[in-house]
Amino acid sequence: MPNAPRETVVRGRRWLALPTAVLVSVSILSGCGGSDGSAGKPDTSKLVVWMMGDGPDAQKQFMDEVEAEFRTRHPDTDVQVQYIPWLEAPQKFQAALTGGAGPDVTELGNTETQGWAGQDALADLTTRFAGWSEGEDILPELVKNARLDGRQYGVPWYAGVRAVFYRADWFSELGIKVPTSWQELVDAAKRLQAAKPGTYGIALPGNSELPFYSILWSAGAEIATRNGDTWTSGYNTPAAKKAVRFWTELVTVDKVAPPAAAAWNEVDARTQFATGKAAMAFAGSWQQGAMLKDNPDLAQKWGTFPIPGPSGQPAPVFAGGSDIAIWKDSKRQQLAWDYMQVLLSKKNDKKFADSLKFFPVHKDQLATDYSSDRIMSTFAAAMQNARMTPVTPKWIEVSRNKTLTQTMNSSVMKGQKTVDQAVAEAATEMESILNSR
Amino acid sequence: MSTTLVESNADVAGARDAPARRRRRRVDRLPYWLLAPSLAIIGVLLLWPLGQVLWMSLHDLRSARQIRGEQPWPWASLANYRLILEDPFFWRVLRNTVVFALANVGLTMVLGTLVGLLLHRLTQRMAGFVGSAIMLAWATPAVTGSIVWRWLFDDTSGLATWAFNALPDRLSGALFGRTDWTGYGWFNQPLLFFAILTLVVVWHSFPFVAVSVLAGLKSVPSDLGEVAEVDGAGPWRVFWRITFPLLRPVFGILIVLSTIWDFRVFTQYYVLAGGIQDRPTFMLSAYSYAEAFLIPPKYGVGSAIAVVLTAILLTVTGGYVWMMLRREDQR
Amino acid sequence: MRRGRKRARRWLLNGAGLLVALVAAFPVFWMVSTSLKPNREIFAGRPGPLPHAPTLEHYRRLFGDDVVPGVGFLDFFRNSAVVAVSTVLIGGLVALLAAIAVGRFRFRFRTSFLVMLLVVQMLPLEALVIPLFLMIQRLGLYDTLASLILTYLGLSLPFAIWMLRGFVAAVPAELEEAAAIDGANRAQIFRRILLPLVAPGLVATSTFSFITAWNEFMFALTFINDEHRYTLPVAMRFFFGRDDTAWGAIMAFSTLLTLPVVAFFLLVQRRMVAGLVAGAVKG
Repeated sequence: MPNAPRETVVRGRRWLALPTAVLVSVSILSGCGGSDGSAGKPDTSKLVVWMMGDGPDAQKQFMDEVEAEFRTRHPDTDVQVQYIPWLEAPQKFQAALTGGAGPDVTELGNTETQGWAGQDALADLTTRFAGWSEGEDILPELVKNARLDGRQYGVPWYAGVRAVFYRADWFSELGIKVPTSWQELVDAAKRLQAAKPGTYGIALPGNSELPFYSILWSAGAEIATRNGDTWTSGYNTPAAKKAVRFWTELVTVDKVAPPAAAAWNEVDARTQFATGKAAMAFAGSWQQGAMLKDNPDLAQKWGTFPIPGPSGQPAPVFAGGSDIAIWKDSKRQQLAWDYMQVLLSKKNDKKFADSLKFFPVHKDQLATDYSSDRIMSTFAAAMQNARMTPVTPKWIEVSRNKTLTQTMNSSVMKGQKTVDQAVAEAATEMESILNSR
Repeated sequence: MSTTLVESNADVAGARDAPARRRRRRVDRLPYWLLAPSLAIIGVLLLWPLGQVLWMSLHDLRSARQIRGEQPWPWASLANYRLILEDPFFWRVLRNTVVFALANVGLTMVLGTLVGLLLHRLTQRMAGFVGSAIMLAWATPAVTGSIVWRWLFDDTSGLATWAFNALPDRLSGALFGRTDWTGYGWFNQPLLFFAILTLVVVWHSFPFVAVSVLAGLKSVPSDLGEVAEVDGAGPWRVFWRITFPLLRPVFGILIVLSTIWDFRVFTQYYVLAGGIQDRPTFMLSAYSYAEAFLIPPKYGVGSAIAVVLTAILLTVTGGYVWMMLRREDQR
Repeated sequence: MRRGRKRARRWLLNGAGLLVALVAAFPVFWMVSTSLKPNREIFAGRPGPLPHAPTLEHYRRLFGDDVVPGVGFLDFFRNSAVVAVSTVLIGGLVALLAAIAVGRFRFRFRTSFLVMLLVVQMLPLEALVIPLFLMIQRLGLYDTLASLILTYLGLSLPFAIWMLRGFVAAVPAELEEAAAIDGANRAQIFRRILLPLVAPGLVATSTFSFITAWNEFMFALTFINDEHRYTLPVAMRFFFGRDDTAWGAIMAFSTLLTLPVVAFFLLVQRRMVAGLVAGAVKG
């Protein structure tokens, strides 16, 4: 670091002079090249919005309504909504950051906001957010989660939690009662598997981290805790080992999920359940729509119960959800903020959450009574005991790049490592990432 | 379009040449003009990145904004190298890479040579038929070839799963300790994963070796081997005493090319592993790529790994070129 | 008795040949066969070698439905074609010029150039994806097809020059000298004598460049972000991680991606092999 960095940049550019000259012909030949950089007033004829997921119909309809409302104030702006699959998102963000052609407004998974803020991808919303009265009631935990070094980079949009979906028809047919502990869960799975040949007890997303955190927390372990500037991983502890053992033994010992489950993500697991190949599945409330699309008959056959803890209490759940942010490179920051205010207004927030089976993020709205909804009531109860993953910009590397937790579990399921080895390695690596400068 | 361009190029050079030649005999500039575009492309796309990757590996690069030139490049000296060399994971990846490459080169060479020898002995019609069949494997793009193999090993409906399920239960149980292969994750064990990857890579690359060996054999006087055989030498000895020494240059280039190809296998790996997230099966190419292009990007560290890979391969190439030049001198 | 042994050996050799052919061609056969099977046959758990009730439904779906919203198979196909054809045209021209230089002229650095060509052919361009990515970004070519055309030129040019050089050298110089005496200038000599005689070699090298560009995956994965500009190999990614019922479509896609390559390949395979081995060995 001692060297003068600015000089390096300049030199780097000069190196490029020759190749640039040579290559101009090629770029002309193929007629291309970026064209952005007109100075003066920003072009407000369009606004690009990135949404995560595959854009179910309910969401598309909602977005159309938001656009209509937004255009009453900005009639000349065409809102272009693009849907980005969750798994593709990091790559798309990175590409946008590299190429300079990103969205104006984007949705982000709430575990990633800090990471992208750390990558200098998001605009600082501190002043704007502070001056926005409708934002006052948003759950403070979620607001804090979208903050880095005291600056606000995202605004919470919706929240969602996981539970277990089960085949109520099979349960009642066999006289099995809803499991409330780990042991009961395994027993139920075994009985179902025996009675229904060709199905698995549980569609286990072995290659996903978020459902597992419920098991981890319910065993009394932590992902990582911060002490001053130092993070300590909670993985190499007896409580965490107990959780990993339970989770992986569903495949290796109890055999209520197939070996291939070690590589399943939540969509794979959901599909197994929806297509009748599994009796239970860990899944979020928002996945109802996709499952019903795969199998419309499911609505009469399914039920939900909270993810059980080891001995009778329901497990804490991961407070999933999304934030909305403005892309730092956007040349239409004010327009983008105007759009955000419409999208995130209390009225629209509630409408969106209801139609897609999420939860709104405003305290007063969460007080709504969900008890009449057979499915949602389970999730609403779980929302009361929801927790976050470690709040640090480094977390994105643990969860999306190195996929430490996923690898830890799946390597045990695949028989590559013992529980002791796997947790020790994951803990070491997690600490080295979280504590790197 | 191409002709006019060449013509004008030639005219320019010719016009300049003509008076020059009258005054005094000067070097013909035309060949340099003809080489210029190739040199430019090779220089820009191959030589410049070679220097650049080294340069990048010496900097602390971890943001796309540095790639865009909006943020400075802090000098890191050898920190990136120290980081990887001290990481046991790097050594595991290096071991994976070397063992995989050597095993694949060996298998490809042996299988390719055997098939080449076989083709040489077949009747022309039969050789044509077998040749076309193996050409099919060679011509298949890496992406589709790998996908087909992934389909063959699909864990519910793949042909391999079906075939193992079709084994008599007792046999399957005795051999592998399991009778039901449905839902068996074929790609779960790194060893099995590498075995399948080897299958794909060897399947893709043995035809080239076979056809090259055949071409070599065709250029060798065939009676030599027959004479030796009449003298009572077995096929093993005929090969090592006669065929191999004659084909040594062909084997040389084949081994070098195979080594280079197998060290940098990426596409087949990417398809079979379903991306670049499966760290236990990483090899240098995937490792370097993942460091640089996954979140958060570490272009400096990725470059350092790429430099290691490049250095290994340049050593192989350099050794080969040196051998060739020495042979040339001896002639 | 001797005859009997000879015949037995013939059978053995033919048997081995058949086995090799079968194993080598099987995956390709299986790809095509699967692409013609209806879904219920694909997932029946009892795979037959040939489809019982052949269907084109997967192909129809491929051409009818968008792969991602707004982008379909034909878009990917067009991108691949644009990239491959541009690579062939530009690369063919540039390689021809260089091949004439080294095949027809003696000049300083000629040997150095040839040695460099040899070394450069063996450079692991895949290992240089990071600096190339930087270069593409700075040139403003990120997320354009031009970035791929440029890269594939680099990938295919050294070998193309190598191969073409042999063809140029094979044209007897006397022909050109005679023409020169008749008063033809260099351009005329090139067009009337050299070009027609080198044309077959140009076809062979072009095929090689085409295949390189058509098949390439890693750079297309790295340099292209917008689905509208995906080439075929990268577009295959869309079929993974969706649901596991798409094998028929994947195989139909693979078949269409493979067909042009195999066709071209079988066209010029002999020359390619000769070029690769001879060019490298002769130095």
